[in-house]
Amino acid sequence: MSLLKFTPALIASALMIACGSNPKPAELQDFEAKRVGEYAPKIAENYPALQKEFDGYYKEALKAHDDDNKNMTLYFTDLADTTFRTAVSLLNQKDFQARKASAEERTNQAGVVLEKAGQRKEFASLKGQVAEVKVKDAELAILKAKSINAAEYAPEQLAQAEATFEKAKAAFAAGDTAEAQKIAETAIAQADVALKTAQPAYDKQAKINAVDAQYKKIMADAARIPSVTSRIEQRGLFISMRDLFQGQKTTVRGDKMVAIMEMAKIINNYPDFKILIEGHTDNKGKAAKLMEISENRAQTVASTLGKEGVAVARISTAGKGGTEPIDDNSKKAGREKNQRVEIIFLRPAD
Amino acid sequence: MLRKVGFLAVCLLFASQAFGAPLSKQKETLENFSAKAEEFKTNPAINELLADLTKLTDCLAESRVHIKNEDEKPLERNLKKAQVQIRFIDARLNEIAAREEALAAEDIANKSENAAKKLDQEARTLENKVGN
Repeated sequence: MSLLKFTPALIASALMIACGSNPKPAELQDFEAKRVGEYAPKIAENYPALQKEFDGYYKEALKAHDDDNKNMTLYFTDLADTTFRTAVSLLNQKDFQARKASAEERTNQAGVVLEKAGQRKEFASLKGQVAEVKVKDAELAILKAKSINAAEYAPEQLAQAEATFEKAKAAFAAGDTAEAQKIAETAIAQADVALKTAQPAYDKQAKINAVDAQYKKIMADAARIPSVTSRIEQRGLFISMRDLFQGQKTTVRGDKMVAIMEMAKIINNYPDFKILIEGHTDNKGKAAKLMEISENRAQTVASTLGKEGVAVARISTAGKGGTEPIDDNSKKAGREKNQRVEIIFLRPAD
Repeated sequence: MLRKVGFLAVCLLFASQAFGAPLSKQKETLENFSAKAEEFKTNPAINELLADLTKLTDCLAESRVHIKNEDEKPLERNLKKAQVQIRFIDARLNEIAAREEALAAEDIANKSENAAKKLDQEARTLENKVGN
């Protein structure tokens, strides 16, 4: 390529030598190659003043060469070449400035991408946190179901929710937050089903427990009254009072009035309970008579309680005669036990 | 912009020197050129242009000899040569500075693009995990 480029100069030099003319110095020949080389059009376009200047020096160099003045030829060639190279340097400057501008534009565009990617990452991270919260919500939902004893009242539903929750935890630990969130939502729904399934049974038991707790307090209060025993049955709390009546009488023994008054105080302390008063006898006598006696005794006690401030509307009475003995009627001690009035704190209906 | 102003200043310096002026004026021009040569030496990029600087200082040294000998015509030619050389070195120093700035800007651009790619990839990975 370079050989081709310099071929005309070489041919010209050879011709001049052949013709006996003075050959141009190498510096001048080099410059001549440059001034028509790759930079020439760009210099003409961007730096015409410099082009004009080095062309002027070039002409001076040719003239000096024609005059066979080697020193001046080299002098003007040097001026032309240095000016030419100055123009090339200015072109390079322009190229570098363009590269700088292009790089700055790339930096700006990368900045935009960076900002958007940062925002996307932050948003995705927040979504990840949402998944974490969902997994925790599932755990809480299961704990809530357990707190109302779903393990007993809704075991299958609770087990299903727990198994799903474990899967959600595993997905989250594996970094699959989208899947973890989805599974956790299922676990929450399943825990909710367990909760709703267990709730009625739990509420019923809670009510029973609350009533039983009150029964225990009443039993403790009643234990302070002599000749009184108590027991909890399905119908309610039974407080059994003995020796209130003498023989087959239906009026309360004078020394037992205090016991009934104490009982009235206890009943008034627990106003939510309906009270059933049942009269009982042993089996000595005709059944109809025993029934009448037991009914009268129940009403007597009810009347006495009413006088002691117990609301009449709360009280109902029944006579059972000797039909519900609690001990052996063949023995005196047993018969004494069967002669009783039972004050029943009825269990509230559901 | 500053570089353009610098180059214009060199051109003005070029234009303001009175060639063919009296010896005293040429002496003043020589001092100005010598000061410029000293200024070039303080530029860190001059290491790339030591041959060109040597050419200039040789030219200025010759000019001093011509002043001493009061050879006006050779002096004028030498000053002209020095002036063209100064303008060339100035252009080259500016070119080197522009090159360094371009390379630095390209380095920043490359790093920014790599960081953007990396962050974009991180965002994509996280997005795939949490779902869209």
